[in-house]
Amino acid sequence: MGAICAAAVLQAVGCGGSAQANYRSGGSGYAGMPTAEAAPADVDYDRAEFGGDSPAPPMQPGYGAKKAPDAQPSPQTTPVGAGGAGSGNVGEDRRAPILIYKADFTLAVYEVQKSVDAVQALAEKSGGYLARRDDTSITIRIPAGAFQDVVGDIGKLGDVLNRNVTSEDVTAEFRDLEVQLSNALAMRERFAKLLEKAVKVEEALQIEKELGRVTDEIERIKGRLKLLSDLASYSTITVRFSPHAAQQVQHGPFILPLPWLDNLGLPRLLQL
Amino acid sequence: MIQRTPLLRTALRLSAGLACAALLLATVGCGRPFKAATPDGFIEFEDRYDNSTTHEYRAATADGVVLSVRSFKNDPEADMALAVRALENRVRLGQGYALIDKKEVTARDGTKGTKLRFGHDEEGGAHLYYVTVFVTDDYVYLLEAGGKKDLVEKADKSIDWAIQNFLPK
Repeated sequence: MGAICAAAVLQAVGCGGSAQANYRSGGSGYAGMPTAEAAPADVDYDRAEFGGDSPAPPMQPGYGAKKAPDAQPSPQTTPVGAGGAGSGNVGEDRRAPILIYKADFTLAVYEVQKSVDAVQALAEKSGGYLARRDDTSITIRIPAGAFQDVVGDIGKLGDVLNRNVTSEDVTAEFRDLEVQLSNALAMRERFAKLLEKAVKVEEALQIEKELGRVTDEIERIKGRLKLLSDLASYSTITVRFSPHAAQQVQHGPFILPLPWLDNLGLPRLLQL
Repeated sequence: MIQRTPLLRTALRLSAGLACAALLLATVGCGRPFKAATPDGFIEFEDRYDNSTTHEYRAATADGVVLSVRSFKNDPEADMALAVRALENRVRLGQGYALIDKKEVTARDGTKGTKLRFGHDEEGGAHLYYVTVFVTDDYVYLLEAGGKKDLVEKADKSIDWAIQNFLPK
């Protein structure tokens, strides 16, 4: 019994050189992955189970419907279990990259509350939502398809002192997690069947212990997949309004030693 | 009848000389290398902020819109493009002000300058801060104006008038 368990575990975690990709969509597997052997072809890759028990982000449209920013290759991201249930061409879409877009802005400090309101309005208009807001910064989540438009609109809201736009390719991690999830689900099913056949109490306890461990692993993988799906489908934009301290000016690298550049600004002017 | 002694005559001559000197100084603007124009609704603080370095001129409205003119020896010599860029960098990047716009302006004698409009949130709300720079061979002139946004916007025409009637040396 122990040997059976050990073999099953090894297969599940992909340590035997046969990490398996096993998908419902025609059973052809993901390009570049070995064909399923350890995991049965009819493994119930339970979409409802993955991501189905957590509330979707506000106003979250179908994941596969996202349009990528124009500057990036269009990621036809339809990760399994990420809300794209019923998609008939999942196998084709798997080749597309899964990208997480982020943008950080630093705007000059002028009419901050008005600008923060405007950023929030942009998020809501584009189908996104407010993630965090305080007196001097705001973070919004917007559908990936609206990323470039919103980034452009934020640039028009004020004097942009700094702008940083990044995209992170998480395709490899996503695919690995999918494979791990598929194998772990198969493993759990196998343990369940073994548990039904267990005769000795000792064997049953051992199998239950393994079942618990695999279940925990499944939950962890599902959580990570859901997080990646969410990050890919909703881009994150942070806008900060942070004035430079006067002291920083004195130590900055490009201070021209011209007397007429000193003592500028409102505090001095308004001190009569 | 007071008899004019030599000592009294000397004192009278000295007094007359001092009076002439004072009149001359007043005529040329107390030694300032510019003549500022004070718009209606502003009170000029005359020599209160004047000093031998910048010859600063100040005026303000009752509500708190302040005008200032300072002059600096243009040494090392800067041209207009450099001056505008340096001011923009210092105020924008160094102090976090938002550059709203900039435009060319003309002083009373035809000298061309550039007016930079900045916005900034200070305690108490949004403020506007304008810096207009004129550059001549000898001097760099800074005309500053600022205050709460709504007040400055109301005083926009007066500020523009002050710029148009500014007379550099």
